[in-house]
Amino acid sequence: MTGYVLDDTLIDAFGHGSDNVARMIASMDARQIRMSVPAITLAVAQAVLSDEQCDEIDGVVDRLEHLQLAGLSGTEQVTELSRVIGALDDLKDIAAAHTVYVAATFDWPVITLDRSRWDLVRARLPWSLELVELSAPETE
Amino acid sequence: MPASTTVKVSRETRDRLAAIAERGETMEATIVKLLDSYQSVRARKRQAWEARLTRANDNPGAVEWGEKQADHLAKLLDERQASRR
Repeated sequence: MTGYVLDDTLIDAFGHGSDNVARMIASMDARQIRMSVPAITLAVAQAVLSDEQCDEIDGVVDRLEHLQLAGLSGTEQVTELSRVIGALDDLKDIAAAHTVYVAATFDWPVITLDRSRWDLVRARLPWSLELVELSAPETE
Repeated sequence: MPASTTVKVSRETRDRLAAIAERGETMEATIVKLLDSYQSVRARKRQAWEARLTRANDNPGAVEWGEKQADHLAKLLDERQASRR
């Protein structure tokens, strides 16, 4: 069983009201495509969102069968994540680190709206990060 | 008065319930209050997503784009899995 990890460009777009991303997530769920939202990535994204915007995100995570929140359980996972944070070195990009960690753990590609968001991260990672960039919507 | 039953909880859980109970409130009233609060939050979030999806479904461009991306992503996963067999 395989699926995709949603990155912060997607979470951010959803949080800010993108109909396109909302519709895509619903369509993926309908096709039984598994999706994972890294909890720390989500928390960082939600930091700039209103309570109402956070409710919409929480609602989609609660409701969709194939969309799961990926948290951290146990010291081993925490330590593994710390190694990714360390690999990113000066970036201090915890949102990216948790996405990378979840993608590596599940061996799933990351879907993003902007591949360039990952340039600095990929340059520092000692392993490759599989990315799928979605085509830009013509209209929102 | 509805029939009652016994729920066994740890001392720690009992103490947590007692800590949030109002003065004179029964344990059942405290549990019901928590259940109501939990269900209310869940319902609010569910409704937020459903309203959001309804809005997206009313946007033909978003439906077209979303379907196209989902098809593309499903195809990529199939190809990825096939290449690993």
